[in-house]
Amino acid sequence: MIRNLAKRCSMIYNGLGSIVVTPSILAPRMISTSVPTLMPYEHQRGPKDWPRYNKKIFPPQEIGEKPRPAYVCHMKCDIKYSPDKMWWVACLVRGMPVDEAVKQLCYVKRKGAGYVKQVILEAQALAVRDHNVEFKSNLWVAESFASKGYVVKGVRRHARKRFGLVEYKHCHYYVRLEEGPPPENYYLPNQPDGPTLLQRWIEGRRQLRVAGAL
Amino acid sequence: MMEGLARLVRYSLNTSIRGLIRWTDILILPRGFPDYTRALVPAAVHGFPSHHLPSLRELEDNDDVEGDEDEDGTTDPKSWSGILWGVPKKRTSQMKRLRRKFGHQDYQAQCPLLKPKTNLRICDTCGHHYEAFHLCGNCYDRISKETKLIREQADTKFGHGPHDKDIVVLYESEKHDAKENNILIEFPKPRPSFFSANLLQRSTLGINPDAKSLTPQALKPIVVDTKKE
Repeated sequence: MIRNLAKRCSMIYNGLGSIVVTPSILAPRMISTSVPTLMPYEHQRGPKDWPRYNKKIFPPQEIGEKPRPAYVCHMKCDIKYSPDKMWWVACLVRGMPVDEAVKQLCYVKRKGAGYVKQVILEAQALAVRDHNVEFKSNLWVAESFASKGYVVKGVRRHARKRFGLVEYKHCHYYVRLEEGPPPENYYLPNQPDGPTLLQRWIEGRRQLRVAGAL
Repeated sequence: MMEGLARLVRYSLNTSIRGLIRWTDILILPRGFPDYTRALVPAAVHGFPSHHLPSLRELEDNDDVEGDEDEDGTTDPKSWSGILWGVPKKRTSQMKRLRRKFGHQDYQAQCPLLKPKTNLRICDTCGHHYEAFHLCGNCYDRISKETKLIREQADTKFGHGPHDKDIVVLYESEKHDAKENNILIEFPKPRPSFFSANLLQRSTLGINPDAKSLTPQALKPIVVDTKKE
């Protein structure tokens, strides 16, 4: 009950019965981020640059130029999760086809995995509806990362007249889906595989020459 | 060093503890080494009152080692010299930092990055994904919804009484022999494909009314006559 009260009154309940007051500037942020619509007196908070990529208009391509694949940029702001923890989940999904990404996220036992899955599914729907993507499965995760959202700071007690800082961290999660098949390696491979190494060795041996021969 | 030793021997001989020399007190310590010998000496030795024998370092330096005491009687930790606190000695190198974050190709078991699971299969029944050697989550949800309805109805029918009767679940256009004393749960919908009528059968072996014991030999199998259908 105290926790619910604290939420409404924009105060922090630090779990030990004491309440620390925080500035009321945070009150608008306490509204659920799953609701897309804003009240007339509110303005959209959070990063603005990422969704602008969706509005970018490219010049017409020349004949013979490789067709530019369609993409969609989507994000979710102010997720109640640490950005450092969200980073692990964002890293997993990079370079995967969307279906594979959603499938893998179902089996990741982390709070951020649910949010990332939701964002990817939303982005997939947006791509088909607004960004001229023909097949919803023909998408892959080109970019996936998280950044720091707002941080609410509180205080907690320790033994022996000591105090500790408590941080309630939030993060933003960004994803860019691109049309087409994913690349074989999103990052450079650690080491070439066996057959490649063997081929290199064979070619090296073939390049050997006898010194001083005619 | 030899002077200090001689001083110690004279001191110990002159004390009222019958010339008892603790081995820690004649321990020759190198210069600059912190003196931990105090901790090794027990407070009371063989019933004698605790008596502080000065260590070699003390006799040489001849100064008070103890720090300032607080009102509580505890010593200020910051004044202790030579105590190592849990603090990094050197900044971690970039190599170590990156290896802890991203792992190494030769030590993939310790790599902290999340790895995609390779043991995911597709369920033949419903087409959803499931983890190998685990139940399909979608199938389990479907079946648990049905069993929840059955259990709710059974609870209302049994009430607070004992669950002493068998439950028989009937779907639309199914009949049951009224002579048997069972709890009937009826649903107006068609029977789901996963819920075979045989599942609620206790055993494939029937009960022989002439049997005097319930040994397996006494029971007889139920033979379903398909020719009648």
